Amino acid sequence: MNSIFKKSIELNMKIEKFLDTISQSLLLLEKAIAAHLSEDYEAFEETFGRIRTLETEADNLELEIKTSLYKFMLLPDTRADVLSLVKSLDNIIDATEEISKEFHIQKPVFPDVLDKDILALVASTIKAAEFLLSAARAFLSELYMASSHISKIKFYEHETDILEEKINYALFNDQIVSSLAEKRQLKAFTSMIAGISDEAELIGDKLSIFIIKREI
Amino acid sequence: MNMTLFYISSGLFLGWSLGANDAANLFGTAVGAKVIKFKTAAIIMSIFVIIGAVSSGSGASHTLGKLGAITSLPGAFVVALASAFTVFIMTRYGLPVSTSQSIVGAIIGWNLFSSNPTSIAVLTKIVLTWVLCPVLAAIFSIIFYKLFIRKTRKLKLNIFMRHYYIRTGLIVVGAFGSYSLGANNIANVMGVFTNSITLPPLDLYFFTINQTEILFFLGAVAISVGIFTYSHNVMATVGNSIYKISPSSALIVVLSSSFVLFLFGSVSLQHLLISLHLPTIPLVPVSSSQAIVGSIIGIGLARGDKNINLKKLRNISFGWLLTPMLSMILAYISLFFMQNVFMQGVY
Repeated sequence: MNSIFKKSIELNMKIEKFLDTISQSLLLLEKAIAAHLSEDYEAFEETFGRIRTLETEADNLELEIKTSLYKFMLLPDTRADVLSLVKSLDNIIDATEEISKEFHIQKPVFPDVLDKDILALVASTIKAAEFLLSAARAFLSELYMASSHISKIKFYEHETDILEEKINYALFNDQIVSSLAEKRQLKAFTSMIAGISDEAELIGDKLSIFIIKREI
Repeated sequence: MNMTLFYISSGLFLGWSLGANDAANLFGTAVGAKVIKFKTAAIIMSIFVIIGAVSSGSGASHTLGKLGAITSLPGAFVVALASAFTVFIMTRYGLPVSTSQSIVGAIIGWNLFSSNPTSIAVLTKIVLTWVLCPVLAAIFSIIFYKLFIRKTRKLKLNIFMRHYYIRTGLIVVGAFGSYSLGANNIANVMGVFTNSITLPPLDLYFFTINQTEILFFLGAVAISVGIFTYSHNVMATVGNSIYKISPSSALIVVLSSSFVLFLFGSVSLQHLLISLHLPTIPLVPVSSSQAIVGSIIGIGLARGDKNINLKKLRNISFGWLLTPMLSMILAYISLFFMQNVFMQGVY
């Protein structure tokens, strides 16, 4: 009994650590983009390096969680759902690494006038992902709290969409970027950033079903 | 002895059908959610059905005896057969059926045929218990639901511990349900034979088992055979509501319905209530399926669902009337044949 209790705590702690890693990587992404926009490339590179380390750490943790889940005597349905959740959450940290890598490679130049909106877009998309992490935490320990977090993911996903549209409209209509190639490049970046909230919403929907399955 | 075995075969058939149908409710969700293998569940069910039947089956059986003490073995055979046949017909046409209601109708049929007066007081007590059974199951499931929600929120268990407890709980509650099913429903299977058979007590070195216990043991073995041979099919194929609910709901549903069966079947509980000078609970065979339906409705009410499945409630009350009527008529006709065609004394 004690060993099962201990094992469950250990497994829970591993998942908590995994969620913390994703959360940190989201915060670092915000910092990295802010550094890039303010042309502090040294700070950007340093932050990008930290995101990469966190991504590797998350991959290792994911593997450890998978192994522990199979060792733990869980209801098969629960095991499958927790595994699927962990796997999906890994997509979020992968996205943060992917976005910062593209910033590192392509070094996109956003018109200064868009800086405020870009930062708001990043903050909003990260908020959606943060609420997803809170929902995942609630799913693991306080099931009844999870639904309220999921509704907030949807709110921030919608806010992100509005900001994305605003930026894209400005890119193509406000004569602030001259070449079409550049317009398309910057649009791709805004889509990538907004993609985090879309992914968070998708995982949130999946989580809603997992919660319904566990409600009495 | 051979004829005795032949005569009790109708009761054993009833036991088999009880094991095949009713036991599926107890472990259906656990087996469906792969918490436990069917074979392990079947072994647990069989052991606890036998313990419940042999140790505590006499209470509900005594009540059936008060309704009509069938003293002739061919008569008891016909009564159990009519009851089993009613269950078969009703199941065949997809109508809600309970062995408890079917055996009571068949006993009344025997009373009418043998001009034995039917005690209205006993009959009223039995019918009231049938009505009370799903109602009580609903009340218990509301109480258990509230307790469960409060406890899980207070304990803040992580998902893994929560599921460990649900997993263990489903097995423990399933075993308790099997015990209660054996204690409460063995009367349906073997109750009619207790006054018509004389068997010598069986000395098992450490203890002796009397005639009623031997009969109940045989009946419980028939239930176990039903569990092993057919309940897996019932679990897998019957689209009963129990199979669609989550493991935590199943835990509450099985616990509350088993609790009702235990209340109406436990001799030891009755002794305890008597020793505490408290009012006793009538020991009457009740329908486990109706207790399950009552429990599911209870959870819905506790959750605040406004849509109670009225069709299900209507079907239950319909069963209270139709099942005993049909088995009473069948028993009456069959007793006539047994007496006048096969020339066997039925009372």
